[in-house]
Amino acid sequence: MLPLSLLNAAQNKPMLVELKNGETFNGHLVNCDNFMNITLREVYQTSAEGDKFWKLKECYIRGSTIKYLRVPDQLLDVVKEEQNRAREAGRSSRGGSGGSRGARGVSQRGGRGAVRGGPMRGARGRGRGA
Amino acid sequence: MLVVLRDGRKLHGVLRSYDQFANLVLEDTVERIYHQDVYAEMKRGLYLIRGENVVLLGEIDLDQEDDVPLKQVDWETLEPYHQKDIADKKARDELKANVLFEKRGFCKEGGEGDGY
Amino acid sequence: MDKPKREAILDLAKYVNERIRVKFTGGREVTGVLKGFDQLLNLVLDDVEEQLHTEPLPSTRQLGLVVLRGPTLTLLSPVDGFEEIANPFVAQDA
Repeated sequence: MLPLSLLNAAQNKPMLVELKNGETFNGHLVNCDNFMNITLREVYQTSAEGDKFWKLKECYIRGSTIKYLRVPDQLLDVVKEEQNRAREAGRSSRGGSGGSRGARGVSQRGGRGAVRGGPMRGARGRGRGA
Repeated sequence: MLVVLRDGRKLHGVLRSYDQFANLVLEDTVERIYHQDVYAEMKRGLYLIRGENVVLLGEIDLDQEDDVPLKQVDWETLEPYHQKDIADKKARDELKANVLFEKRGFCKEGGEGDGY
Repeated sequence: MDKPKREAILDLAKYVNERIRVKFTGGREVTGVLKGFDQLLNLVLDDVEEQLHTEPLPSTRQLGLVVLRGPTLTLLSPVDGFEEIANPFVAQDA
């Protein structure tokens, strides 16, 4: 689950975008690309000082000006489920022996992704336990 | 994990993923602010942070975290102090930059002035 | 699944002959009527007015017909439906 695929999955979801200059934009994601350029609709813009507000029907933001994006918490679960479904579909269409190949079909670097995912999940569990 | 951004914000969360640009996905994020020996937290949720804005990314030892001699207070209580700290630091840095510029012939730092 | 998006994520054709607001790296800001564009986001705007962040009061100046370089644009939005409003986040985490 790469950061940019999470962004892709956030389409039509509400989000908050903060730019490097401190301005923030609250709106629904319409589209995004691999440069992190994004288009939003029904946008509330807030000045960097937080004292002025504007409403915009839609807007385009260049990815390189973004500081961070805040997206709904549930999105991660949704994406995880989608990935599982895709993996299952890949397995059944390619037959049982192709388990690892099926995983690869999920993303372009599925093999490495799976390895990455492992230790992270472990870390999470430890964090919750303590 | 602890993430420090170029604007000075400190975010604590669970690192969910990253890519070749060090863009980060941070889950269950809380933002922390500090003033002297107290701190406050605000729940922020799921973040996608653009890599170039990250100053520091470090793992938090949860066992040691319990021994940190800081006191937690309400966000609403601490926030005004925090804002004042930021404003004071900004004024100090501007004063410093002006002295360096006028008396020492240094150039002024462009724009963001965060030293990164 | 994660195919690179070749086509632009923004369809500028729908803004042709409409007034749009554009911000640049460095903080400059203009509005103008979109006359032309290319895939690099270079724009041609007519009747351009620059919003200057002057002290104590903001001001404007007329620039006429202008070519805007795509790589320097940071923000683009239609002027239609753009308005300053009161804080919409009262009693809500902005």
